[in-house]
Parts: sequence; structure tokens; C-alpha cells
Amino acid sequence: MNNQQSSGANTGSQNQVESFQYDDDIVRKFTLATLTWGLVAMLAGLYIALQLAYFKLGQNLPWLSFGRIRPLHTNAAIFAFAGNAIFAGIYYSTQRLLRTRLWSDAVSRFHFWGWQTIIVSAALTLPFGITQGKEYAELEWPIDILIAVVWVAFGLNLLQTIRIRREKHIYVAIWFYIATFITVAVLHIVNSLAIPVTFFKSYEIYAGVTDALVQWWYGHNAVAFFLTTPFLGLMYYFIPKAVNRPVYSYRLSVIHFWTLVFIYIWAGPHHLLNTALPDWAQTVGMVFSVMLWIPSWGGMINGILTLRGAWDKLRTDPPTKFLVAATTFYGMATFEGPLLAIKSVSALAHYTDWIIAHVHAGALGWNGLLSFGMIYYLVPRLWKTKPLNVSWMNIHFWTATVGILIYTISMWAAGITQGLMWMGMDSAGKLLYPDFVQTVIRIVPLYWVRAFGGLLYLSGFVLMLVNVYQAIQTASADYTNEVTDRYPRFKALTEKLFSPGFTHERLEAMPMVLAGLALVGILIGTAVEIVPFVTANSYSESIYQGAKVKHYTPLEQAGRDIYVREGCYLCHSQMIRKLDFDVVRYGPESKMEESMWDHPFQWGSKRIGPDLAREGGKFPNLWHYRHMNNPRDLTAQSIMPSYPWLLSDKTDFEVLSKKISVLKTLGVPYSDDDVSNAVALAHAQAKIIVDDLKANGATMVDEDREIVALIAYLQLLGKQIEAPQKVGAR
Amino acid sequence: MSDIKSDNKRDNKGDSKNTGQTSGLDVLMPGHEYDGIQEFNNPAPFWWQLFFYLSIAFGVGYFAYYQLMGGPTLKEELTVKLEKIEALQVKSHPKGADESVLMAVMADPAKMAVGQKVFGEKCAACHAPDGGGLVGPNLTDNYWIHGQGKLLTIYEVVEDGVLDKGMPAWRNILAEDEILDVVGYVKSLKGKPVATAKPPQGDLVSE
Ligand code: HEC
Ligand code: HEC
Repeated sequence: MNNQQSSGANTGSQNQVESFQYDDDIVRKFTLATLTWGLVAMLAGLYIALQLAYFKLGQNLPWLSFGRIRPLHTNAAIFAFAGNAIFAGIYYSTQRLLRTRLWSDAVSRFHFWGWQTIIVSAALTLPFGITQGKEYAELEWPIDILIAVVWVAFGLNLLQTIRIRREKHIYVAIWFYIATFITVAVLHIVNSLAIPVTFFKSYEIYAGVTDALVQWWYGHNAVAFFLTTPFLGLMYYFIPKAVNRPVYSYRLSVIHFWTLVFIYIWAGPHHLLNTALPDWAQTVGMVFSVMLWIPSWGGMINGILTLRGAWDKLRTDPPTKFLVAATTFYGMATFEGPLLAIKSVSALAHYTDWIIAHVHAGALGWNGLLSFGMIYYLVPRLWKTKPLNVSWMNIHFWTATVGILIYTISMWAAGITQGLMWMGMDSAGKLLYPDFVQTVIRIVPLYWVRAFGGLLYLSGFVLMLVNVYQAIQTASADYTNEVTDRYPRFKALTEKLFSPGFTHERLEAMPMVLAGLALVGILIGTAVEIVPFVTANSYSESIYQGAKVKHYTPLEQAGRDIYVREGCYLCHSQMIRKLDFDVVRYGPESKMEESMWDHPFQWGSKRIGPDLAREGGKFPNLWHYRHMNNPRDLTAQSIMPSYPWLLSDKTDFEVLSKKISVLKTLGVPYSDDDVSNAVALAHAQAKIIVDDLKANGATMVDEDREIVALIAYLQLLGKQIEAPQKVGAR
Repeated sequence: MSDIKSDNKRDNKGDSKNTGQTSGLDVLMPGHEYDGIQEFNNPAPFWWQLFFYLSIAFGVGYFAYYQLMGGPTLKEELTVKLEKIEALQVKSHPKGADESVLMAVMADPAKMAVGQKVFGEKCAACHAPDGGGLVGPNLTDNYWIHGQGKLLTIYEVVEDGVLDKGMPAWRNILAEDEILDVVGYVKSLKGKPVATAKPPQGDLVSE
């Protein structure tokens, strides 16, 4: 692409015009990766959607069970699909906005291949249950380290390109890219700290409430700084480029950039409303979420109003359609988010499919459509192709939009229906739907509708793949020739153009200062929320009120690791909220102390099945034994997957000493004896359970079967506090 | 599809009239041009600013009320609600039953049919559909763990459960009538033939 005319117009004659090439090869690579992984992510999503509608799908195959594929879907959608799209767009726009080739070709390639390696490693570990058990941070420690290295390589490339830039001032898109790099680096590193046990297993250094808070500080801000800020940057580049109009308001950019960066980081606790997290942290999370609404809409306004004077492009130019629809979905999701962050709304919506509707309005609407619009814009330019097929792009647009609407509306309906059923109580103080499974059966039809919406979205995407493929067939032979541009270094934007004194414009000429301020911005909220939990010795009385809380026996810990491995937390919460209908259904509200030895915490975020915080003692051992083998034997219409392999696979007893010693290092009060005798202790406890199972008629159970360890764990849930409390509302 | 050439056109028709202006709508920021992208400096919409200030005011007020001025904690709010629910439960579901009521149930085929239905839905998973026992004990034999299998003790076990042993409490799940009916039905199971009888648990009772 060449911009000599425009640059020429602004160039002071004193500056030496330089000639240089853009590295578009790396953009092409990331673009193709986006399309490839997009397909994988969506197929995985469709698969798990169908599993909820029809539990028999993939039944009895461990590596295809819901709890293992859901993390694959989320990781693929976020880090593989959206991630590659971000890198494609950032590398394309940054070079042009700064009039500078990327700093290092080698680092760019390392970034590309490193990122793909991470994705492939994820795909090769998650289905096998190799996970850290924290949502969107499931990947085990060796992959975590690789992520950190590759991310820093990306950041280095970005910041160095900025350092050697020709354009003195950096445009708003670049501010967002900087904030993205800095914040994601901080989030990933802090949240992933763990001590390895083996190459494939580690324990997070945080436990219980601290882990919950750190995780959702991470989780929420992964949405903020991986799925929002970079995409806002892309929006600020691709919308004005596509419609050829000036951005609506510079000052709005300034305000909403800084308010977003500062406010977003505080909002994480809205994932933990009404839980055992101390009230003050919940309140902070809630009010900052409410304050986020308007700054978010600042971005939407700026994106959409940029079209003023070019509204006809919405009809005539498919990429514009996608970009603008994406921005509209952004507006919708960022209104819904603050709403859901209100404690009383969360009481209804949390753990239900309403949240699933919300994230997909964001992921399919905002991230998906924006990436599609961007790729449609880029492909003809990157490959020098004939124009793409317009009617196919239009069909894609409508299938995608209608698909999202079917998806979100069905999940709103499912979420609100189920939420109300959970709350429902009659005038005698009894639950209207005491059987959890009743509330599941009711929404299964909506799971079919949702799967159909997803299928529609996916089919539009497949059309896009065909369209892009055909276009690339028409690529001109010289498309790999690098695009040359000419521009003077630090063109003549002289200081006198700016108002006197400190202005934001000065900051734009000092990117490192801007980066530093953004870092300070995110660290303030982080410090206020996280530091009190991490530094107060988490086990001290100030937080846990000196409760005597049992830690897990080696066998229970082994069972817990199986629970984490199978992804039970993706269907079951372990957190009875401070809400009457939760307490009546599940027993006394969960206390912070109860999870104080939990590395990692397993409070969960979704109740496809009932809460398990007080599962211990609720059913006999044999019940669990049979239920895990086939839930339908005990609960006629259950949609929970069967886990027959737990009855035949063997628990790895030998690693237990190592596990217990790592946990001891992390502060769990095991004795040296526990460490050295872990295996013997586990066998002794297993024997008691096996004897009980046999006495009640189970045949063929050996102490070393995984089911025995899992039962030991399930039977402890809710019994962690030494002096048990009265169970039930009465 | 916007063609590629249009990238290079600096096409800001309609803005040119504003060049040089310093206030009002659609003023371009002087010098702001990045890869051909220019920026207006329009004011943020009034409603946008208004709601921003309102949301901040709400945030400050909410935080102040609940965290600084002694507004109720979540736990306090929960306690109040639970007390109300408990009062409702006690009122609608008095403790204890009359043996004669249970005898009447057993004599009423309609009620026994309800009892059988409830048993199939709620109890069969643990006691087997025919009562022969599975996870829970056989209810058709002459062995009883609790209170020799008298009507009133069956009633108590069903009402309050045996929580440590995995027998749920049904008091707040089933309606009072349903409990009476299923208890009558359980009592009637004695001696019925079963597919597979679980080995006896508890004490032999000879009536
Ligand atoms: C696809 C979602 C899903 C997954 C994954 C899942 N469950 Fe479930 N689970 C359910 C549903 C739905 C129910 C309610 C119906 C029933 O009792 O089977 C349930 C019920 C249960 C119950 C009975 C709870 C009660 O008090 O009634 C236990 C215990 C349980 N699951 C344990 C597990 C364990 C352990 C795992 C992981 C190995 C697991 N579940 C994985 C959906 C799931
Ligand atoms: C989750 C499994 C489970 C379910 C469901 C269940 N029970 Fe039980 N039940 C048990 C267990 C286990 C025991 C043994 C308790 C003990 O050892 O003290 C038991 C004991 C009993 C006893 C006392 C038996 C004796 O020998 O004293 C009665 C009566 C009984 N159940 C009736 C019912 C009825 C009626 C229902 C349905 C409304 C029901 N149970 C549902 C597990 C269950």
C-alpha cells in the first residue's frame, strides 16, 4: 500500500524522507492461523453444546467428555482464534500507524510459531485432563512458561517498533495495544504462579478465597485486556479505514481509554457476588462494574459515529457491516455486563446460562464479527486478490447475526427460567423444584436451539473460509513483494501545534511514559483488591478467624485431583451463596475457611449440575459409585456424563508423597509423617471405603481404583470444619 | 467491497468547510493524521457524560452505605430471610404425626397409589423400585435399623432422614400428605416378593 501523497502533504521539507517496507508476510500468517483455529474453536463449541442437549454424545470416551473439551473450546476461542486475529490486526495496523516496519523479523516469526506451539500443546493436553483447573488459565506450567516468553517477545516487538517509529505521535489504537501487552503480562504471570509436582501437574500457590480472587481478577481482565482493549484498537484502525472518515471524537478516545484502563481492573469480584468473598471486595467489584458501563460505551460511540456521512457504506461495503455490527454487540454486552454485576441480578443470573449468553454476545458478536470484518478487509490487500464474493459475505453476515441472536436469546431464556426455578419457594417455605434435575430437563430443549444458533454461525464461517480460499487462488503472483512506503522520521508535528502546558498530545509523543502510566493505572486496583489477601498470611486469623479446618488426607487429595482433571468444576459449583434459596437447597452458606486448603479453589462458575459444597455424607458411598458409573441409574433424567473409566483406572498412589510435600511447602499443615507415609495412609483410607462398598453389594472394587479416591473426596465436602454446623435451613 | 485504491484517496468531503475552525461540530484535530486516519474532536454526548457522573455517584453512595455507614451485611440479610422461611416451614408443617392418620392412609387405596408413585420417583433410586434395597436397606424384610419399623418411626426417619448415613430428610422436599402416603406405602411393603433382596441390616423384628 502506498501513502506517499498523504505523507507528502504533511511533511516539512527539512525532514529526510525515508523509504521502507512493511512486513505483511507475518500478517498473512496470523490471518491464516485465525481462520484455522476459528474453525477448531467453533467445532469444539458446537460439540459441547450438543453434549448438553444429548448427553450420549461422546459417552464413555474420557478425552471427549464435557469437562475436558469445554476448556479446549474456551482456550481455542480466546487464545487461538481471537489471539491470532489480534496479532494479525496489531501487526498490520501498527506498522502503518507508526510508518515503521516491525522491529525484528525474527522476533515476529518466533512470536508466530511460539503462539501456534502453545495452541497445539493446549490441544494435546486438555483432552487428557492435564489442567490447572482454573478457567481460561487451565494450561499446565510448562505451557504457562512458554506463554509468558512468547507474550514478552510480542511485547518487545511492539515496544521496539514504537521506539524506532517514524510517526512521532501514537494514535489511540496503539495506546490500546500497549495497555493490552502490559496488563496481560501482569495478569498471566500473577495468576499462573504454581509449584510443579511433575511435568504435567502443579499446584497453584494461592488457595481458597485468595485463589478465587486472583483467578477472577485474571479472568475478568482477560476479557478486558485480551478480548476488549486490543479489539478496540483494531476498531479504531479498521473502521475509519473502511469508511474513510475521521474518527468521531479524539477527546472521547482520551477519556474512555484512561477510564477503561483504570476502572476495568477493579471489576473482577463481580464473578464472586454473594459468595464467601468478604463483602467489601464484592461491593468494590460491583460498583466499579457499574462505572464501567459508560466508559465502554465511549468506545462504541466513537466507533459507530465515525460512520456519520458514510452510512451508505453499511449497505454497500460488507467489511463495514461486520465492523459496525461488532461494535453494536460490544455496546450490548457492555451494558449487560454491569447489569449482571449488580448483586441482586447476579443472585438470579449467576451459575446459569444467562452468563453463557452474555459471553457469547461478546465472543461471537464483538470478537468474531470484528475479526471477520477485519479479515475481509485485509485479504484483498494482503494477497492482492480479486474482490471477495460480495453476496457470500452478505450471507455470512446474516447467518452470523441471526446465529448470535438465536444463541443469546435461547440462553437468556434458559438462564432466566432455570434461575427462577432455583429461587422458587412456596408459601410453606419449600422449594418449588427441590429436584435439581427438574430444572435441567426444563431447559434441555433450549440447548437444542442454542446448538442450532451455533451451527448457523459456524456455517457462515465456513462460507467465509471458502470465500477467502477462492480469493487467495486469484492472488497476484507478486503478492509476496513487500509493500514499500516513504515517510520522514518524526514528521513536522511541531510543539506549537499543541495547546500550552501539559496535554495528552504530549503524552502521545512519549509512548513509554504512556505505558508507565497505564501500568500504574492497572496496578492501583490490583493492589487495593489483591494485596490484602495475598500478603495477609492467608491462613492467619485475620481472614480465617482461627477456624480449625481439616486439610485433605492423601487419598482425598488424590480424589480432588481427579475432580480437577475431569473438569467437574465446569458443571458443579462448590459455593453455597449467602442467599436464602441456595441455603434451603444446599445447606448453610459456604464459609471462607472451608476452602482454605484448596489448591486450586473449585468454587466454580456454572451449575449445570447441583452445588457440591455440602455433598459429603449426603449419599452413601455406593450411591456415588453407581452414580459415577452411570448417573441415569440414580437420577433418571440426568444429563451428567458417565465416568466408567473411574471404576477401572488406577489412582497413581506413588506420586502422592511428592504431591503432599509440595502442598506442605505451600503451607498446608501436613506433618513429615504425612509426606513419607502418604501412600500407606491412602491405602488404609481406601480400604475402609472399599469394605463399605462391598458390604453394600458392590463387586470388584479395588483400593487403587480412582473411584475410591473420588468418593473419599466427595464425602469430605462440607465436612472440613471440625465442629460441623447444623445442616439445612432447619 | 471497498476497493483498494480508495485507501489512498484523502476523501473528507464535507469536512473541508470546517478546516481552521476551532469550535463547534466536526473540527479536525490539527496534525492528527495516522495512515490517513484523521480525528474530529467532537464533545462527548451530553447523556453520556450525565450517565457517567450518575454511575460514579451511585458507586460512591452504594459503597458508602454498605461498607462505611453500617448498611446490612450479606450475612445479616440472609439471616433475616432464613428466619422468615423457617417460620413458614414450622407453621405449615408441624412436627409429629398421629398413628391413626397413618392407619387411615393405609386403608385408602387412592392414598396408597400416591404413596407408590412417590416411592417410585424419590425412593426407588436407593431402595430399589420394589423396596428390596440397593444403596439403602431392604424395606420388605423383617430387619429394621430404626425403631423396629413402626409406622411412627418410619415417619420420623422419612421426615428427618439419617443424614450421616445418606438417607435424605424429606420434610422440606415432599408435602406433608406425600410423606404420610409414602410412609403408609413403605409399611405395606413388608413381605412383598422382591427381585434381589439386599442382605438384612439392623435387628430382626418379630411382630
Ligand atoms: C455436563 C455437566 C456435568 C459434569 C461435567 C459433571 N456433572 Fe455431576 N451432575 C450433573 C447434573 C446435571 C447432575 C444432577 C443430576 C444427577 O444427579 O445426576 C449432577 C449430579 C452430581 C452429583 C449428585 C449431587 C447431588 O447432591 O444430587 C454428584 C455427586 C456429581 N454430579 C459429581 C460429579 C463429579 C465428581 C463430576 C466430575 C467427575 C461431575 N459430577 C461432572 C452434571 C455434571
Ligand atoms: C440417597 C439414597 C436414599 C434415598 C433417595 C432414600 N433413602 Fe431411605 N435410606 C437410605 C439409607 C442409606 C438408609 C439407611 C440409614 C441408616 O443406615 O441409618 C435409609 C433408611 C430408610 C429407612 C429406615 C430403614 C430401617 O431399616 O430403619 C426408611 C423407612 C427409608 N429409608 C425410607 C425412605 C423413603 C420413604 C424414601 C423416599 C421418600 C427414601 N427412603 C429415600 C437411603 C435413601
